[in-house]
Amino acid sequence: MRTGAALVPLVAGVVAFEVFCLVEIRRHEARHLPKVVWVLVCLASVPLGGILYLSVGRGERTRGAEGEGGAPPDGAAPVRVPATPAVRRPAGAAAGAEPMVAVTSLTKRYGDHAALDAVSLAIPRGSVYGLVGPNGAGKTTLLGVLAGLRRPTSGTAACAVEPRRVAVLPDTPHFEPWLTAREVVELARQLTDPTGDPAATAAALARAGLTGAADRRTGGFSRGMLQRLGLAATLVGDPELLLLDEPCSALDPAGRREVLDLVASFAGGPTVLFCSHILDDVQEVCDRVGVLRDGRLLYDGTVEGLLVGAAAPAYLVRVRPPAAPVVAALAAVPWVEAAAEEEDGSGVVRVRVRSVEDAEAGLAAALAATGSRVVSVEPDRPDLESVFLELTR
Amino acid sequence: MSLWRLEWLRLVRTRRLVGLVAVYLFFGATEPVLLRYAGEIMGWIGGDITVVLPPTRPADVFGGYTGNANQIGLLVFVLVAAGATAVDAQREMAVFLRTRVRAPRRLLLPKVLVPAAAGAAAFTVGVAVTWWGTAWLVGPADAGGVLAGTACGAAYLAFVAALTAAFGARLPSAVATAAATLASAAALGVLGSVAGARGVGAWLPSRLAGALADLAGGGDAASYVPALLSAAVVGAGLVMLGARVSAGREL
Repeated sequence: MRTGAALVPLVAGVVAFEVFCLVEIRRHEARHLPKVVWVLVCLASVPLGGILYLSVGRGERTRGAEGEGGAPPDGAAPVRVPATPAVRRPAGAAAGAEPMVAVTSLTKRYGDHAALDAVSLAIPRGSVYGLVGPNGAGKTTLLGVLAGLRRPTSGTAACAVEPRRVAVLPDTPHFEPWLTAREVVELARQLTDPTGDPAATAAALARAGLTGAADRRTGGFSRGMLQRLGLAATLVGDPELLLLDEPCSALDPAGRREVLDLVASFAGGPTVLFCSHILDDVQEVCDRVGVLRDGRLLYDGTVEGLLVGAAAPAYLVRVRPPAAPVVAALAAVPWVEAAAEEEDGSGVVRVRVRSVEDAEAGLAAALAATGSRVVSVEPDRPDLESVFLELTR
Repeated sequence: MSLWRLEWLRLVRTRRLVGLVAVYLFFGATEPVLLRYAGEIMGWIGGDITVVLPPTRPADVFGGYTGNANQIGLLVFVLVAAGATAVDAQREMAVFLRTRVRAPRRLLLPKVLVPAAAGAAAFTVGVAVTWWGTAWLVGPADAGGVLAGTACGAAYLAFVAALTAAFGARLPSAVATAAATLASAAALGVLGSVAGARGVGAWLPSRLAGALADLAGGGDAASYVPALLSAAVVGAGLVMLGARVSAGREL
């Protein structure tokens, strides 16, 4: 009798737990199994079935008929999608053979936030494609989708090679601290190219400058060494597509130079998608570039196309101070659109002109007419950083 | 260097294998002594009080070992298994493995089977030491029962390893995986004690946990066949579920 009374709270607790699980099944999407099967699992195995459902079977909370990528239900407020600006693409930029990577209208949402918003781009085989953008622009998300680690909400992202030929280097590589560098690279080789030449492991370590540290455990590696090790593990399977997320972020200047030289040496070899904040690096090694901001692709094309297309022609004229008379005289010239002295008082005047032809024909004469002492005249070449800032402002 | 060797190195280089074996070895070595001299020890602690205990039987020693193995031993084993099966606990390593091993089952199998084998080996080493100590201090045990009970105990650990694989594929850390596994194992144990050894209770894998104590005392080995079968089927199902969950999980 006593034992029976003691069991009452236990039974009541189990019943309450089961009811809670059934309510949760009704309220949430089910993962891995249909809802009806989860109900049977919960009822057939008390309370293990319920624990299992809550741990692995419970999905997102149901919100009417709205689903991932689906249309909002009647009466529900639709998710506001900001108007997508037209992607700048230089003429003829996308022409060519079948691309290594083809991304079409790719959208990835986390709740109401669009990490990627209708991104479309094509990466030609053998090119080094730089993907730039401020923090939170969606670069890592795009890499994750291409690597198969994230699913798109809508749209497609396709690579023209089988998955094992795609190698990914995350922005902060980290390995089991009790493995040696050689074991990490050997494991990568065994998993991607088990029938390949075992000497590839040593070659990849040498290429990353880690031969001397090959038999050291990675637990004692600096961030830069881990980055190099990640690169060695990425290269060892002889991949056809490399997805590199900030590969120079933790490296000292010498290491950064080595990695850039390495990436530059890929020209004509594997296709590289190179995400970076360091615009100088992108300008140096990439032949094509994509600019992302807030999940939207603002530009897709060659680096030169970006630089030329972004800038109105301008010249930097250095004169002996005072520069004010030069500014006033040039401002009166019909083909000069603007002339202004740099604020640092160095006597440099930035002259924006209507066309290069006008400037080449008349700038020297216009300066001579001012009677000022001219130190130098040079074209004002925009760098990627200024164009990037202009685009992402 | 294969995924199997990776898991073996995880056990050896992190000294998890040593810890696991040490726990079972400790209980295996101390249980015969504690039970054989329980009266003397209690008398020594109690001073003038005389404690009279019934003579210790071999089954009592195995019962004591089983009790400890199912508590401290299981806790350590679950922590070791969860450390291996929580695939995504460390994102960068997960990216390394998941971008190179496209079939999650291939990734998960060594993570389940290597710790399971280590747990079974540690449990067996503990049983062997218990058996030796029992034979020396208490008396001979039923060899067939001990061997069958050891097999059941090892099968139970394999089932628990599969349980950690299912939780590890979904939960964010090894600790959460271990906690969920232990809670489930405890819930199964409670359910087993409520259900008894007949009907549904006969099929519960948790029955295997106490099989050694029962079989060493002359229990019927055939009565554990349903639990062995369900442990094998449900364990395989849990590993497949874990692989599926892992495949669907975004990094």
